[in-house]
Amino acid sequence: MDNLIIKLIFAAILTAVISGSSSHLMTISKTVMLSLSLLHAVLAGSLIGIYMVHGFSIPVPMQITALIFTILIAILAAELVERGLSSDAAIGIIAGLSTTIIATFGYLDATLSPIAVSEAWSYVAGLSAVVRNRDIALLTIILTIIVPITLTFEGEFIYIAFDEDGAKAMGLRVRLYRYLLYSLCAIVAASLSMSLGVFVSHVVIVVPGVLALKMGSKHLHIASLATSTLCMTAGYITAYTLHLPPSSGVGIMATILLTIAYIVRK
Amino acid sequence: MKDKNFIFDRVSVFFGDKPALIDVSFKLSHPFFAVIMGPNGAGKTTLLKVALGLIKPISGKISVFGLNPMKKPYEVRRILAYTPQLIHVDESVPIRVKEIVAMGLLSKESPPRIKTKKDEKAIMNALTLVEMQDYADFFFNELSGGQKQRILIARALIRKPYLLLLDEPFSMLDYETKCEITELIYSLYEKFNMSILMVAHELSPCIAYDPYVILLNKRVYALGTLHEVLTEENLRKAYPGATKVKDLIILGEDHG
Repeated sequence: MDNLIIKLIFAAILTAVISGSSSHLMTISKTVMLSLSLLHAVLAGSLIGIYMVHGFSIPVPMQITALIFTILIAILAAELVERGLSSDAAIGIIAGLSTTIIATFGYLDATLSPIAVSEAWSYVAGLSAVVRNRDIALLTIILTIIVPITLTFEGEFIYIAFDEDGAKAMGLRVRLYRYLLYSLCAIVAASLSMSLGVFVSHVVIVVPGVLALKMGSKHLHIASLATSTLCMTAGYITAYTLHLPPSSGVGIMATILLTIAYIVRK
Repeated sequence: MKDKNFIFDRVSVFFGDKPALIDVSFKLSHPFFAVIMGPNGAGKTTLLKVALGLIKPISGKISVFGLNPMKKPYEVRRILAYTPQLIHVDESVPIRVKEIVAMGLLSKESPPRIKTKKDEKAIMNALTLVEMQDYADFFFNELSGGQKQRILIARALIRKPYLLLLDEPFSMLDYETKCEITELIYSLYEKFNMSILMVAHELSPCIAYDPYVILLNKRVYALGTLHEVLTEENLRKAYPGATKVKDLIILGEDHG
């Protein structure tokens, strides 16, 4: 089997586990909109990363800068909610902040290196079918962070979503869990963008969790994981067969799965 | 427990420039069976949250069995248990009865919170106490209003608290279920010497149990037994919208 296909399959599995481990939690804890807004922050972070490389010659990969920036923005959102702002308003603020940075650094980057901006665009749009060893390594590291967090704190995240006041009254440190959950959303958003691009990540963040809940599964974590694995592998195969970028294939498969689920379980 | 007193001493809480509690004072000695009664917006829930250390007063002192909830909130939350109003619980979250009760127990531990066999036995015991042992595997949103309230009480019970705070345990229940829930709550006070402080709009399900009543509408208007508190004069003060119709008093919900 050709090396590229092996890498693609590997990337598909890693991305599936990252998405499947977290999507149901985002759906239950109503942080889907936050996660989607954080994709703006991924784009903003990428453009800042380009500026750091080309403007200041700081050799930090764009993906790392995007990841760190997205986590910071997520923590800002968590703090805004903790200070009494509604979740909607906090999301609006971070989306506004991110788009301002996108506009500013998009312009600044273009003056520095049009080629770099084109690369960044390819990255965020998910147009590239090239999976580099560095991407695989980074996805593996991210996976080793996300899976233990979700497995360890899944109960607390679900519990806080169920009864936040009760959780506080029982002594759970809700503020810390909010930071953790929002940071998890940021890591997932950044890592999915890394392999699929920002656009299709919108679908992949939502679909496995929604499908797991829609199917009324008793084991949401496993259902979410199974859905995302099916979505990714079938999506990558579709993309390879139809000569499309992986993001297109995954997006098509996610849409088909969602449609089937809603037809089967109205 | 060395100190058996639950004390609010001239406690005031403001949200911005709006008062929620003004100079609220009372003293209850463990074990007690008490009800906070008052109209909507009277500060009843705020009072419970102040006791839990979730809301900070601008003045006054609070002692929860010798502990100050502002200085030691986590210690206070270990000896209190709280059941929120059902409307504040998100029933769209797919969570099972046994998981809800488990969190009451596991929240006392540090993460990772993994259930042991002993914990599972304790969960079933708590469910048995509220007569819900056959519903352990049900999802919360599959239960009736009264059953949901029982589960929230089981979650509180498993923590073996000195004091159980209940916020509107009768909301959205029919009269018969209200009486059943009151009977259950009173049995905890009687059997386990557990202090009870509950917020209620109506006292009729509690009349048989003769609770200590705190009549609140931002200020405390009266304290004492039902007969001492529920006088026309007191009710008119706490419920400015109260209307007398021949030998009846209709309690309005004006906040005053």
